Amino acid sequence: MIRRRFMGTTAAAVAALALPAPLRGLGAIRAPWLLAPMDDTQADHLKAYGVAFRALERGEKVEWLLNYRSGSFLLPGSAATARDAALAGVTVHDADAGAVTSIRAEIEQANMDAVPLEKAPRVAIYSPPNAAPWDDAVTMALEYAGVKYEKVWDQEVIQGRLPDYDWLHLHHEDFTGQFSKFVLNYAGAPWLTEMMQRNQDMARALGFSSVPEEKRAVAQRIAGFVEQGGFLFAMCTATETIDLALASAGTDIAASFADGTPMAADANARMDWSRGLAFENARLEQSPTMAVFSDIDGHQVNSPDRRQELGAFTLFDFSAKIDPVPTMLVQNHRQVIPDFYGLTTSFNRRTLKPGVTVMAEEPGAPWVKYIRGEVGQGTWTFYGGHDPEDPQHQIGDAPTDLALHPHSPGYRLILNNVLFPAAKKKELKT
Amino acid sequence: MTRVASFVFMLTLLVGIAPPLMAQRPQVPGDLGVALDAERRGDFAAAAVAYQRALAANQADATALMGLERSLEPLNRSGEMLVPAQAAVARAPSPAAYSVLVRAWVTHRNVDSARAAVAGWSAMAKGEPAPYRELVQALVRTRQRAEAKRAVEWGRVQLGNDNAMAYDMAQLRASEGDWTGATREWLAAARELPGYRLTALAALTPVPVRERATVRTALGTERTLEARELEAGLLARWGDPDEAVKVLIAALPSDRVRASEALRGFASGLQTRPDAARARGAALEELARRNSGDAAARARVEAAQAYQQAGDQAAARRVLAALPAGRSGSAAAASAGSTLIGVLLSEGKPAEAEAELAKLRDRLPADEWQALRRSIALGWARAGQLDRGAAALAGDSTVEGLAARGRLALFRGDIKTAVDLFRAAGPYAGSREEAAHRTALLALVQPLTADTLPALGAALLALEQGDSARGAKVLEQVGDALPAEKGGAGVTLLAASVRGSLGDSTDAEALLRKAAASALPATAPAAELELARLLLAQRRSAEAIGLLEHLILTWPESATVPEARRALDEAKGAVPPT
Repeated sequence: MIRRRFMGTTAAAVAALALPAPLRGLGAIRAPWLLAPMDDTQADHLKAYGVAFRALERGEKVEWLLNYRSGSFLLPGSAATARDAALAGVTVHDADAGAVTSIRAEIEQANMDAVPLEKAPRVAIYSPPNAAPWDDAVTMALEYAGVKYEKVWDQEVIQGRLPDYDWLHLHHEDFTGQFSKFVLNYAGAPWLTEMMQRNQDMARALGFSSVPEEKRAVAQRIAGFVEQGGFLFAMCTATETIDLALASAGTDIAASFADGTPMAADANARMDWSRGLAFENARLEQSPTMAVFSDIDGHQVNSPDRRQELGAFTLFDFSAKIDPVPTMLVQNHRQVIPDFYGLTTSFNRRTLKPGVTVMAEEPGAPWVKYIRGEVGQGTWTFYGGHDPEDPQHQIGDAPTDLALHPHSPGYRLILNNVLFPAAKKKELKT
Repeated sequence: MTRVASFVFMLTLLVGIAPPLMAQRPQVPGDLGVALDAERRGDFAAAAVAYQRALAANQADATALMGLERSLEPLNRSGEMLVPAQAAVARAPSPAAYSVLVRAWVTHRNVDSARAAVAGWSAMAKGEPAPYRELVQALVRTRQRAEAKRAVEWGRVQLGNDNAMAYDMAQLRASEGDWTGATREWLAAARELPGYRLTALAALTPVPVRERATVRTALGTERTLEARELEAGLLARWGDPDEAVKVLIAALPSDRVRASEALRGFASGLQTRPDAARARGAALEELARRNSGDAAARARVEAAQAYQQAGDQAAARRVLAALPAGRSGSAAAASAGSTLIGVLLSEGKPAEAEAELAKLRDRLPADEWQALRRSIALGWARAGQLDRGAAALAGDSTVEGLAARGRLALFRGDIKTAVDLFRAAGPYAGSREEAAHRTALLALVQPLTADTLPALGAALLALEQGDSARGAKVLEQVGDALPAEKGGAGVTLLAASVRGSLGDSTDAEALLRKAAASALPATAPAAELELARLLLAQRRSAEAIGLLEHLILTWPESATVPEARRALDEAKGAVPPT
C-alpha cells in the first residue's frame, strides 16, 4: 500500500513536470498537499488567508503550521485550491508525503505546532448599514483576502442574531453613544449629521430613550455573545468604549450633546469594572470638550497636550505547543511593526485586568498594543489603532489599497483572528 | 621556498609595512581609545565601562561624558547619566556638560531641575537660544510635548524674543494638528533665517485638504513677500499652480532683484512638474518682463519652452515674438529658434520649421541640429510628404536617425526595411517613450511575413496624423486580410485599441474577442485584459471576472498577469477602484 502510494506520488510528480506551464499546477495529477509559506517568499500574505478560508468553505481540511516559516498553511492539493491560489497570486509549493513528513519532524523538534483548521467560521462585522467598506481595516482585509462576511448592526444584535455567527468584529463604534465625540470638531459636517440621525432613529426604533442607553444594551448583548462561546475582535474606539459602556451600567457617562444630560459628577466612582472585558481602574475623561474617552488609550490622539508620538510595537513569542491560541494570533513574518493611530491607539498597562494576555507592546512605553482574554466560554482580542497601513489616518483620507500592501504585517494580525475560530476546538484550550 | 624562509619573508614584509599602516590610525589614549573601539563594534556595555573609567580619571572629559551617554542609551540605562553629568558640570561647567545634564534630568522626568541646568548654561551663553532648544528637544524626544511647549515659551521670555525657537514650536504645533499656529511659527522662523523657507514649504505640504484653507488664512494675516512665496509654493504643491503664480505675481515688489529671485525660485520649484508647465511659463514671462538684455532673453526662451510643453503654442509664439531683434548671434536666440521650430511643427508647418532651422545651421551644436532635423522629418511625414522626410534625414547616421528612418519606412509599408532599421537602432535610441513606442511597433510587424504592406503603413501614418478613425478602419482591413498567427491578431488588437479610444465600444469588443480567440501567447492575454477592462467600464463585471480568471490561469507567464490580478481585485471589489 505504502509502495503503491509512493509510486503514485512519484508518477504524479514526473507527470506534473512534463506538463506545459499553464497546466502544471492545475492538472488532474497533483501532489497531495500544497504548502503556502508565510515567510518572505510569500507573494501575497494577506490573500493566503483567503485561500485557506475558501478551502475550509469547500469542506477541505487545512493545517496551520504555527511558527513554521512564519505561520504557513498546509492546504489540500486539490485542483480547486491550486486554481484559487493561482488566481489570487498566492505562492504555494507542491508537498508530497516525504516533504510533509520532514515538515512535521521539524515542527516536532522546535517551538512550532500544527493546528488543524476544520470549518470556515461564520463571520459578522458590526457596522452601520451604509458604512463605506474602505473605512474599516477589518472589512478591507476581508474584502482583499476574499473572506465572506455578513454585516450586523444594532437591530440584529438586539434581536439576538449574534449566535448565528462564530466571529464578530466591531467596526470603530463608540459604545458610549457619544458619536466618537466628533461633534467637538466636526459639528455641522453632513456625514456627522447623518450618522447622528441614523443612530438616534435606531435607538428610538428599538425603544431606547437615548443613543448612549441603546449602545450600552448592544455592548451587553455582545458581551453575552462572548460569554456563550463567541469570538470577538475589536479595533480602534470599539475596544475602549465597549468596556466603558459595560462598566458604566446605571451610570451616565455621556456628555450632554449625546443624551441631553451631562456626565454624572461621580461617574468615576460608580464604574463597575467587573462587568467589562479587558480594563479596570481607568479614569473617565470628564470634560465634554475633550475628544477623549478615558485614560485607557495611551496615545490620546485627539488631545493636543497629551498626544503621544508613534513608535513601533513588538510581538511576543509564545510557546506554540503550550499556548497555541496566542501563538496563532501573533503569527507573522515581522516581529516589530510600526505603530498606527486610531481614536484608541493603545492600552495603558495600568488599566489592564490581571488576566489579560499582552501579545504586543512598545518596549519601554507605558502602553501595549494587542491584547486578548477569555470570558465564559468565549474569547476576545483587542487591537489598538485604526488602519495598520495609514498610521496617521484622518477622516476623508483616501482609502487604503491593500494591493499595495500585500505583505502588511499589521493586517496579518487581523487575519490571524479571522482564521483562529476555525481551529479545532480541543486545540484552542490553553 | 621552505616554510621557515617563507615565515621570515612574511615577517620582513609585515615589519616593513606595519608602521606606516599603524600611523594612519588616530591615536586615542588609554580608556577613551578602548571605549571608542568598543562603541564602533557595537559592544556598548564594554564601551560604557571604558568611558566610565575615562571619566573616573577626568570627570570633565566631554568626549567621555558624551560617549557614555551614547553607549548607555541602547542599553536602556540612560538614567545612569545623571551622576556623571552633575559631576562634570560641578568640576568644569561647559556647554557640552550642561547639555548632557539637561538631557539626564529630562530622562528622569524632572523638568524643574532640567530648567535649573538650562539657567546655569544660559548664564554662560547669554542671549543664546541653544540651552533652551536643548531642553525643548529633549522633552520632545521623551514625548513630553506639553512641557516642550512651555519650555519654548519660557525660553522666549528669558531671551526677550517672541520668535525664538520658532522652528521647534512650528513642529510642536503641527504635531498637534494646530496648522494655524504652525503656519505662524514657520513664518517667524523664515523671517529669522530665510533658509527655513524651504523647510516650511516641505513641512506644510502634507497639511490635510480640509485644513488648507486654514493655512491660507493664517498666511494671509502677514502681508510680506515671504508669506506670499510660501503660499504660492504650497498652492503649486497642492495642485493649483495657476492660482499660485497669480498669488506670487500680485505680491511682487518693485525691487527688481528681490522680485526676480522670487520668480526664479518659484519657476525652479516647478521644473519637474509637467502639469505646472503653464504656471512656470507665466512666472518666467514675468521674469523676462522685469529684466533686460540677455537675462530677459533667456527667461523669454525658457517661458516659450514651458508654454510649448503645456501645449499652449499661442503663448509660446507671443513670448518668442517679444524677443529683441538684432541679437541673432546669441545663445538665447539659438534656443529661441529651436523652440520656434517645435512650435511650428506642432502647428503642422514643416516647411517654415525647415527654413527656421536653416538660419540656425552655424549656431547650434551638431547633435541638437540633427535632433531638430529628425523632428522636421517626422513633421514632413505627418504632412504626408514621406520623400521630403527622408531627405531631411539624409546623412544622419546616428542610431536615432536609423530609428527615424525606420518609422518613415514603416509609413511607406516597407516592413523589411523598417524591421532592419529598428533592429539596427537597438532598444535604447532616443527617449524612453520613443524606445517603448518603437518596441511596440517592432512587436507588431515582426510576425508579418510579407516584405511590404502599404496598407499597414497607411494606417500607421493615419494614426500619426491624428486621424484615428481612418487608421482604425484600415487596421481592421489589414487584420482581416492576414492570418492571425502571421501578424493579423496583433493588428486586430491595435485596431481594437484605437476603436476603444474613439469610444466605439461595440466594434472594439468584437475586435478584442477576435484577437483573444487567436490563442497566441503574444496577443491573446493582452486582448483578454483589454476586453475585460472594456466590460468593466460597461459594468459587465461577471463576464470580466470570467475573462480575467481565464487569462491568469491560461497565461500564467504573461506579463499582463499582474495587471489582470489588479483588474480582478477591482472587479470583485477587493480593493478601492483606481
